[in-house]
Amino acid sequence: MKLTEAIRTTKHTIWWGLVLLWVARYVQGFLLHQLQDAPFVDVEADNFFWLWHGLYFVQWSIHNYWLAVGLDIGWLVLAIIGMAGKNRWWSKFLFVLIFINYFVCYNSVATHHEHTLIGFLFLLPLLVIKKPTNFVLSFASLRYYVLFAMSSAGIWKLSRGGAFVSGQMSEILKRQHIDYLISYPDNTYTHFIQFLINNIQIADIIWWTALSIELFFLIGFLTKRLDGLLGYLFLLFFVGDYLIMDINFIEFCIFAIVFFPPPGIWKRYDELRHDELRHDELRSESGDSSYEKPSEDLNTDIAQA
Amino acid sequence: MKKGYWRILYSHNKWLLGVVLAFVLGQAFFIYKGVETTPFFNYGMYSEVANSKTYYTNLELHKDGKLVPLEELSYFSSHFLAYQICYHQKMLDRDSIDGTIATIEQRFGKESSLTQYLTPLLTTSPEKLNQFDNWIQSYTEIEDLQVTTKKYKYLPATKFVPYETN
Repeated sequence: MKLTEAIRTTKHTIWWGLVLLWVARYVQGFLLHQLQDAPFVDVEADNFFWLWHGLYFVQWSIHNYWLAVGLDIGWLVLAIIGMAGKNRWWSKFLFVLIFINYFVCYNSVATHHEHTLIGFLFLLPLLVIKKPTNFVLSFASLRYYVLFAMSSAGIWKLSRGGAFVSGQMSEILKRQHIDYLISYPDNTYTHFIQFLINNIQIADIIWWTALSIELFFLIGFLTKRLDGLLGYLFLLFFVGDYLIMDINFIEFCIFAIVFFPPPGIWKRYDELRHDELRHDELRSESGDSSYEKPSEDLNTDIAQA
Repeated sequence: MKKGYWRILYSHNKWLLGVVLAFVLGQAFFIYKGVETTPFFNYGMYSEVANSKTYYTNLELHKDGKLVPLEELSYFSSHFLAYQICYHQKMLDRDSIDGTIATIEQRFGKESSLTQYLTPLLTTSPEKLNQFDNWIQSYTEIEDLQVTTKKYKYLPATKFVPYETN
């Protein structure tokens, strides 16, 4: 697959995801025009939220119904245009602003800053990058971010001590499901959760398996060869999260794209690496410390191609 | 992380290298501070030791004295509803004063003009508590719902039962 085609496919997937996200959010009643009456806002200690509220963007968006309708429709229309590959540079930037605004507004009125939209938030830059080499480098950076997100979750558990405590999972399940267990004492899911709570060893096995999966992502910093496995583990982790913890992180799963990219992207990345190695060799062969790389602009070459 | 990644960034896009380095430094700073600021997120959920409790508190909705399960209340998300109920209770526990007010005053001074400007934009006013009853009624389409805090204990190896202090 050619690089330009690989980039187009990746962008297309993200735009598709954004359309599906819009539909999912609409069904759940989470679009801006559906959140107009929400009574509370909670900015927590997030400085960016403070800035966005301070600039009145949230006030305008959640207290002006027709503006909210316009922003919601804008999201859908621009994403559909993006899918068709017809977006201009300004419409992509407009979309980024609309999405960031949504991210802040939703989390503020939810009064709980969820991590579920972070996947789309971090992938937004890929939609506006034009030069193929810059796209590939940004994609590689995002892959490292996903590795960081997953492995740091395991490291937090190690550093705060939760990883080493037997019964931790059983206790977490009690807190996570208390409302459901009380509301539906005879439900099959209730029996399943109570089984895990009451059988601490089994709950511990699940806990340590999840922790091991999180820490396994550290290996991705050393090699890309296991990316396929990491991608499946990434998805498996969030399926388990949903089944056992009732935490729906399906939106975060867009990040799986970094483990299953179209082949042309890593091919180009490897070319860049080999290019660096080749110049190192030439430098050492010439024995000239003042050796400089040829000033060929690979970005331009690729773009022209 | 391979050394090659930094080399390639340095050779091909110093601007992106700067962005990545700034991000890494920012992320390290916010991990150290233990707080989040978009786009520096911490993934430390469920990492703290969760010890067994004598009793567990549950915020519930009741109608005519009977428990109304959150899952059945709305076509929309029960989680979103739960967030609102928790926040409502948090406000009540603080005598209707939003905790963010103290943070704003701490950052910018009690009487500063910036504090006066930001407070209504960043916080929930006490009057909004009255709005909550109307909101929950329209969200769930059920009248006269009451938010109740109940305590439960977990009988070893069985299930939750109401916690009685005596």
